[in-house]
Amino acid sequence: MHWKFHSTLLWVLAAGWLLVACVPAQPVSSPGAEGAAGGTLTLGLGSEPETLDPGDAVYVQEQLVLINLFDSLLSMAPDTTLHPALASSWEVNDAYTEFTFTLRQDVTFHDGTPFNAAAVQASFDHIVSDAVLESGGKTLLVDHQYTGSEVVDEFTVVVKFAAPYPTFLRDAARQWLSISSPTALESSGSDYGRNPVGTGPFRFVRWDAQSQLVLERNPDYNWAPPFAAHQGPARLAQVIFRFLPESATRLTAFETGEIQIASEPPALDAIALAEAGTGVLETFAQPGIPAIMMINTQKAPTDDLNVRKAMILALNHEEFVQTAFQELGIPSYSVLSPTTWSFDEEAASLYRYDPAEAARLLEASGWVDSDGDGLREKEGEPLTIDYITSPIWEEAFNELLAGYLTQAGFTVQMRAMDDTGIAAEASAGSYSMLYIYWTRADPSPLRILFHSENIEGGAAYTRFSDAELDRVLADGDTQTDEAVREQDYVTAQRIIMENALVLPLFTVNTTYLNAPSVQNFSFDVEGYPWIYDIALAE
Amino acid sequence: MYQYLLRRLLTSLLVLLGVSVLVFSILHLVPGDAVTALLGRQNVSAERVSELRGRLGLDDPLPVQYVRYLSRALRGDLGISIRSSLPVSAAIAEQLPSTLALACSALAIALLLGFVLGLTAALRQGGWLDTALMGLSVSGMSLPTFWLGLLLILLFAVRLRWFPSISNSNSLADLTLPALTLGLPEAAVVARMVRASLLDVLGQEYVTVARAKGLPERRVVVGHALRNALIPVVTFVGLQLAYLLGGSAIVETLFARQGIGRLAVDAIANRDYPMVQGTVLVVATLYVAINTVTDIVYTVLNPKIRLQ
Repeated sequence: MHWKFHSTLLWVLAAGWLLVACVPAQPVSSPGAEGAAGGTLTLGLGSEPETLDPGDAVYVQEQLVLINLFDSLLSMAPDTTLHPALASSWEVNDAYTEFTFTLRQDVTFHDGTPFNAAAVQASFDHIVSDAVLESGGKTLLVDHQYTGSEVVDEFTVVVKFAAPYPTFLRDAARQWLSISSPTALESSGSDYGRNPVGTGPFRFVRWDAQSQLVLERNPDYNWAPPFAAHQGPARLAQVIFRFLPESATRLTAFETGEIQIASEPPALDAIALAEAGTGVLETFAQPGIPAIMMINTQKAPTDDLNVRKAMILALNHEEFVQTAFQELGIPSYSVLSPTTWSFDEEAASLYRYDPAEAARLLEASGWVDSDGDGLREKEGEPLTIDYITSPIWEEAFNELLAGYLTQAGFTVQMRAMDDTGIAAEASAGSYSMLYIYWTRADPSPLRILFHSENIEGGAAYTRFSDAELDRVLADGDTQTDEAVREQDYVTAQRIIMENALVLPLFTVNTTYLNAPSVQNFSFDVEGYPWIYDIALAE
Repeated sequence: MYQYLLRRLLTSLLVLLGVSVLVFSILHLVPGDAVTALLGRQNVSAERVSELRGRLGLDDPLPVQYVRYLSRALRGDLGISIRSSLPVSAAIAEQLPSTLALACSALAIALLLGFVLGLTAALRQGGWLDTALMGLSVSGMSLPTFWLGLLLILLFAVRLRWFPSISNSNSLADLTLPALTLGLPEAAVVARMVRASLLDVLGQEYVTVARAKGLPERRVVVGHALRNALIPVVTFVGLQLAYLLGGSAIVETLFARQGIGRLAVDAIANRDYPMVQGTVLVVATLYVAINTVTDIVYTVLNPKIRLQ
């Protein structure tokens, strides 16, 4: 074999390789082409949906997208009042087990399928079918023993449950129970989560996994909820969700103008941009259960009420939140955030930073610093907090929180794990405290987190049993008298805080950094961006 | 020759089998299984959990699960992602082109730059240019990818606005910064290698003979020395291409690109068994395939190796 290596040949080869490599292997049309009036809005999100089938959805990032693609039977205004949406009116029986909806007659799905009672039936039946392994909607329907939907006539449907479901109307106004095209459910089968078809203001165009999700305006949309700022089709021609897991990447892309809205930007830089006038910060204090540490009442030393109280008193909330989140954080002092229905001021006033009182409580329980190292012991045993922590969710504050507890004399053992590892430790009960938050306009998740029936195999991570607490939480789930129900949750909040079951940290603040060109930005009731009303300035 | 080829292919197959066993066992040894990962901290009854476990086939003994997995994989069916309920092979097929485009462009940059710099340095051995280039290459090799990437973004995307900071597609504009980030440190290595290898060969007697025959220096270098100097470089390139395919996860994350590296990393975090097995198996297969091809090319370039 005789190869003649010529320097020019070598260069041609190398250059050719470069060319070949750079020819798009997979042509992806460049988004941002602002053809239609209204322009393209690109949002940078930290996480990507797993599915766009509302019935199969669980996560925040899914609901954030679904709200644009789908409509629900009812809609919930930012002030938590219920309004007509796909249903123009509704009736509930006295037992709260049968819900009769009269439907709008002028709605069509993005694929042209007319919206009717059969579509409602198909959507709900799909959620409880085997096609959905596990999801937020499935939990709601199965827990309340959904028995089926009866199509009375083309535009009347009765949704039936075997158990009373007083919060069904509120749940039916959210994304998990929104309505899918029965034609698409049928034809897409197991691929439906990647080919969603709803009736919402935007329709699905394309989803490039790990890259972007493209939606375009639904020109036929004429059924916006009454509380929207405008009616008719959306103002934007196209919406692109860019998945940018690193907050620094989102900030850079925002600065270069590649995205107009950055979700959860790095706090310091975002504040600086806002002050410089190149960005607008929008924040939303989420209702529901704020960021809390659930304290294990079955494991020493946190089985002692004094120790749990001392943990809360040892945390300087103001300073803690300021250090971790600058101006973007809000301290929290209770198990519900102030924007949640039935929030109780008294339960939230029990504890304020008081290191002297924390020390007194710990000493009363026999925890003293016998060797002068600043950490407390009892009979040679250190006052140990086993803190299982997720770097993904708690990175901003976990070291800081451990620092405050150490100052009070606790020996904090932090163990960082991924979500799966934490779930395994959580069900084994081998932690002293566990982080959680739950966004919901209604306090009903309290039952899942605090009813003693959920200690084994559930999420009652404080592992605390109290007959009165169980009673009010169970009653709150099925009570149809609003005043009694409110009193139930007030009682629950007081029992939880008086027993120091949780160490409240901060109200979770949804933060978006918007370009000045983004107009009419607002939040929906649970803090998702209300993209339908947004317009872009020229 | 054929015997050599056959032996080489057989070893490759054995390696792949080993990889599949390893991947399969490691994931099953760490705490928390796929159902825990799927449910997260949702409130689900024990019966539902065991039903799900049965449905996903997690109740069978591990060897049974492994054999089932392997027989399907051989038919191109890598299973269904537990997380997204979509076929793993489809997810990989969607991500692979981006990774290939990135790895190939990075390699092209590495070779182009590496050869130019290496040749230049070798021909000016001991001179100031040589010293400067080799100093530069040491710094280039030592640059961590994420840092280099951030610098490039800062300069070319934020300051100069020449290229996008996030990379959506495989167009030239979108590929340039990620490919440079991945390719520049490699170029430094290639440059050192070409230089060292060429200098070694230029000291050989047959090169002296060629020079003594009065051949012009250009022909001595290109026609005689370079071919032999290429052998170690070819091995290196093969290994590097394989490395670039698997090691692109950082760059993919930094530029928020599609890619198989990110797919694998996310799948590990989610205990998405079929996805982890699928991505690792595909990357390992590519790795082994490229190595096999490299070894074969090697024997073509240097018949001595074949005979041993």
